[in-house]
Amino acid sequence: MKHIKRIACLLLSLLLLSFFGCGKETINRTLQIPEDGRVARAVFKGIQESGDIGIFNGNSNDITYQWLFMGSLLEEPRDENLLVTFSSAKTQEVKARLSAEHVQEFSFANGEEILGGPSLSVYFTYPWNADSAEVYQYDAQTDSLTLVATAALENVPNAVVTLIPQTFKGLFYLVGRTTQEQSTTEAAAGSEPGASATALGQSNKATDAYVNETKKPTVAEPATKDKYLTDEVPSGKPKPVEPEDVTVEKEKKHTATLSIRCDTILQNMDQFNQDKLPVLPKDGVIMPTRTVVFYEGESVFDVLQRETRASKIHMEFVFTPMYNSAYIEGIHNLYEFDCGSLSGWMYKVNGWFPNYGCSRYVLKNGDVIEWVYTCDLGRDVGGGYAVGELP
Amino acid sequence: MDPIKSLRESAFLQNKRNRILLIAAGLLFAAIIIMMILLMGGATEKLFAPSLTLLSPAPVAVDNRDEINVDVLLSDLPDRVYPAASLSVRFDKNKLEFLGARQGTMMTLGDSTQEEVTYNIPIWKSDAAFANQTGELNTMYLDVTGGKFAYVREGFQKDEKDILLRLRFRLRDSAQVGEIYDITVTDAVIATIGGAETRTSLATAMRTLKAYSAKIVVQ
Repeated sequence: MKHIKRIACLLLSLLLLSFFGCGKETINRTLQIPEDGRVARAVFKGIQESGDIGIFNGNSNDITYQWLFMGSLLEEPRDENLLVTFSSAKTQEVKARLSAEHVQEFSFANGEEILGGPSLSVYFTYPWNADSAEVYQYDAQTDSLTLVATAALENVPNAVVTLIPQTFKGLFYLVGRTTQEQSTTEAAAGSEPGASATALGQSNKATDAYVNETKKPTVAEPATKDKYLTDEVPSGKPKPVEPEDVTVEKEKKHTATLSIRCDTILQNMDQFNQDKLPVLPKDGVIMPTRTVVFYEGESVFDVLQRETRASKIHMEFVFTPMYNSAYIEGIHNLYEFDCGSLSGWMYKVNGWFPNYGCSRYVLKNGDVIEWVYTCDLGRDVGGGYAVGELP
Repeated sequence: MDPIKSLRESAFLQNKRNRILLIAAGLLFAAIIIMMILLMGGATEKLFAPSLTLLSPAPVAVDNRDEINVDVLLSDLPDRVYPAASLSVRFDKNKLEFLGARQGTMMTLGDSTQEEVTYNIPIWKSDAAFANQTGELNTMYLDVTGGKFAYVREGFQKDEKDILLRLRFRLRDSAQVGEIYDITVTDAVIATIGGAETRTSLATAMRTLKAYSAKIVVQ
């Protein structure tokens, strides 16, 4: 009789274990997206609670893609549809319209926003002859394309394009761009506060006819400067916001990508201060593209300062009251004028070099921030227009 | 007569021992059903066949210099004989150090006799020093007998014997908080004899094998 009681207790324990034990299984952070694309809230809840990461792999028309969720950024988990479809309905047409060699059409399953600011990496089976990538959204009603984001492109050796999607409805196009193409499709802009800028520029005629005018930078006439000597900001680009007018809301978290590069120096070694050779990264990458968290109201400078500090990367700046902004003098011990008299640090956000200081650029979710070292006043990094030159 | 009442009053259930046994059987049955639901009714599907997936490790602390394992998971193995396999993977050599490959859980045929079939977990060969120079690691397994020690379906079992090998990495001192490193499959082949012609080999280049990359997140 005692044996039977023991067996019954054992079975009862087994039953209880099946209820409570299985719920605490170790996290499987790499998952395949199901055929219908639906991933349950419980999965995201698990990622959130563990503070771990969630990787979701998918494949469409022989193109593989991968979502990366960070547990710390998941605020209100819910069921999500992670399906991405790669198609080619208008690819040739868009290639012709944008004069681009590499274009990939894609769409999200149901056009609904995916929460948690995940990044999406798309893996191609061939390299792209391009330096960066842009994301365009197609508007069927007006038959126009709107530049909605920039994306990171790496050829390792095949192309991998990584973006943080902001809009999800409709048809989208990943477009490979060379620096030369970018500088002709972008228009007036500026640089770090030290540069005086008469904003002028031209856009690519092939692109002009199709790219939505409200989003696309247009040619800016020489205009009156504001009290901080900033030229008129091209239409469609964010206006500067004075740091003292902004309240940072720490309860509202967003993500952006940040990178710091100085590869232009590698092409100008004859001008480079040889005493600085020990600090020059061999591949020109000081900080590879990474996803960073920022709070509502923070500026490009806030993010640069926090991230370089966290990564123990040297960064020196001086606050310039005349421009009401921090001016970045050196990063990773590479200073302005270390590679000739026209050298220094510039920043761009979503592929555009703002014509005002980094303390006045308030970030929004999904922005792509790139700090680049120029050896030729921006001309060598596609930002010649930033100092008032025609492309 | 009420059948429930008659069952309750039956001689079988009048015995206390039998009643306990019946309850225990019921509990066991319920436990089995619950476990089946939990195991089979997951929120996401298992990897569909055939695909090779590099499993991302947990985020790594920037000052952690322990070995980081990236498991190479195979989703399915069709019923053929695979005497050779190779894998090429790109990684950031400035941030990660490749330490070598370790045994997975998938088995090849072992030194079998007519009386007994044995299985073996092979060690894949790689040149870590060269991989760290180039940023691309190449690793392979070759059964030089042409089949005696080959991968076969019997050596594969989902969730138990499906790790082809494990790649071992370590963070370099240049790693920084917030960085994400892609570990990208550039080529993978699990080859049958003459499989290139018959398209029976599983190969990314032939599109008979899908490959998914991993990410290492530094925190």
